[in-house]
Amino acid sequence: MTQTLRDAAVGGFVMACGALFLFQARMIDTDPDDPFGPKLAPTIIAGLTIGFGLLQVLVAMLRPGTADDAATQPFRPLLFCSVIGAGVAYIFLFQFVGYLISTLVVLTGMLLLFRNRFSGRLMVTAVLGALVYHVVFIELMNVHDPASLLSFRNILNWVG
Amino acid sequence: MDILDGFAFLFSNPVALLFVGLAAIIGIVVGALPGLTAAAAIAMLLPVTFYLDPLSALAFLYVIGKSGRFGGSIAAILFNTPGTAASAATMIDGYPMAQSGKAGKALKTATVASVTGDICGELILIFGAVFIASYTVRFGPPEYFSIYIMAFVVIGSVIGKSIIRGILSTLFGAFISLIGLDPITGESRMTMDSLELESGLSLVPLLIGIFVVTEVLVQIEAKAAATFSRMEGGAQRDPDADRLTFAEFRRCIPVMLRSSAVGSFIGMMPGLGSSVACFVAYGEEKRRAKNKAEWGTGIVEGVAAPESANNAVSGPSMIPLLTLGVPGSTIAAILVGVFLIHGIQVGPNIFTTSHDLVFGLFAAGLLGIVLYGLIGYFGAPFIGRLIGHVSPSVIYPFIFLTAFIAAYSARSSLFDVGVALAFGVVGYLMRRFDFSAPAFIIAFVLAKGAEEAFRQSLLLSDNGMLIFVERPVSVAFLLVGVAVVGVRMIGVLRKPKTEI
Repeated sequence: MTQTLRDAAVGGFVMACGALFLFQARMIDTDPDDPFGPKLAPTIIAGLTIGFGLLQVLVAMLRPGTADDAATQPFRPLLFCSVIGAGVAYIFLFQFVGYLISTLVVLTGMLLLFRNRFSGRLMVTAVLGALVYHVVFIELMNVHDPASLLSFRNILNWVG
Repeated sequence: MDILDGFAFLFSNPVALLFVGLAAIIGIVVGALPGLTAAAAIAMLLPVTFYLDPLSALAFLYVIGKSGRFGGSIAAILFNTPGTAASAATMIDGYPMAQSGKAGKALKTATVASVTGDICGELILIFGAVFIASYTVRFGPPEYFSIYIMAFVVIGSVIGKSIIRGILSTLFGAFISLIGLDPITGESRMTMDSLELESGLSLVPLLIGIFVVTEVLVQIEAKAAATFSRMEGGAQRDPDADRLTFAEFRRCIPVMLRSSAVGSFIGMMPGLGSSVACFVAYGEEKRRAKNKAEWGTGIVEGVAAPESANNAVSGPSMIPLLTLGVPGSTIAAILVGVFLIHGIQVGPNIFTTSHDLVFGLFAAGLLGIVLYGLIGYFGAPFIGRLIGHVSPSVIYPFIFLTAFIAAYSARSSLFDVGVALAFGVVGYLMRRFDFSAPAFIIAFVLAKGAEEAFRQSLLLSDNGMLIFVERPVSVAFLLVGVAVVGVRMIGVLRKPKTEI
């Protein structure tokens, strides 16, 4: 994609965001007698966003760049989605199996995504890492662990 | 002397002293890791400060910002990879010095220069801020609104590659910050009927998403493209070349003082940060030098100039925050959040309402400089070697997990973790399409104050919007904003292939 087309597409996307902002701003309930109510600032920002988006499109058309984006790092959708997927999985796992197990699973996955070879060393790193995180954040800092099925603390209590 | 009161207040708080020491170490290590900025480290450690008293919390984050800037020079000198953008100019002479076996000399020069620059900046902050605050305390809502507008326009137009995208970044940040209940009428705004959005988006997950999750996404792509920062030291260690001689130090004194002045001046301008200061100082010193041909081949002045300038930014960048309540940098924007969490209103009155705390913070800054100076002078080569041994492909998965638990622990909310993830994607897209993440964050922090000042001004006014041009101070600030954009536009239009 040439830079001109890319910049114009960015401008178009910004205008669409601005339109969405404007729609959201117009939905705000406000007192008709209050001209400076809660709707004013979001409406102005939405209007400016649309205006600057249009300016971006015009600049892209009237002042085209020559370079294409080949020099930038290529987008890798699979890796990108894997990281985001790991994050989403973490949110769900966190609720169902608790902090320790979810951290162990996601840490192992992330280490593999970063192209570390699957080995005993990797597993030891993941297990030790998860344990350290659990002790620091859940045990020492008392961060709430929402685990309902596999609470590490429940297991410890049971063992105790 | 107020600063002596500050030292007394700081030394009466052992927890604060402990956290200043910790911050000096953490900042250097994090700053030395390529890709991870001091702002990202502060975002991840922000939830830790919820458990601390205000002085310990603020001093911890403030000193991480300072030592993080210095830490960036370690990676720049030893690995030819700037740990932070502020150290990019240090590579030009620092890495050739390391390659010729003078890594120790380069690191010691960077330490001395960073400490010199930082102390100069801190002194300007201590004496300048009180003076400016005594004047700005008289400002009303119209003046404040003009200051906010000036800050938006200046930050948006100078902080990124493109003026339009910089301003758009501030508009996005401002819009996002207005989500939630209206502070005056209590009306729901842009919440899409989500209960979690009623209280608005929290700063911590936003910061973590924009700075940390985005960095993980960028690094994993770099790993796949095999351009991952190889952190093997190029230094051939030569013990004879590890010293900074007195003759070299004397040669660097005028360079450090001039560069500190450049850095301090740039630091006071909202939006212009260390990365601008280091190149301006390097360019200026090279222009003045008689031995221009030697610059870039590995000379101590080439390390001293950018390092003094980038650290001199730190103190003065707090001046707009403490005198106007307007953060001029990302770190200052984060500190606003910490002040507010502890119930302290930032602005010119802070020097009377929280006198001990502010001067305690200044004292912590000075102590932090001394500590990171000592650690850097004697331990920088060791820290460099240590970081060189840990693979980034192991570090980044841990950073990813730290980011998530930091986002969660702020309010024990998985919704916040989702927000961090979503803004990781937003930050990635912003970086890919040259939008400015710092402008977005600063606008997010400022927008609510700006809206309040705007509505208060209009309620005070008999002539609507004209109130902003009826008061001379308000007009002056608006003109400064217009002038900065004008100058930047002229510069861009003169270069045909530059982005507007």
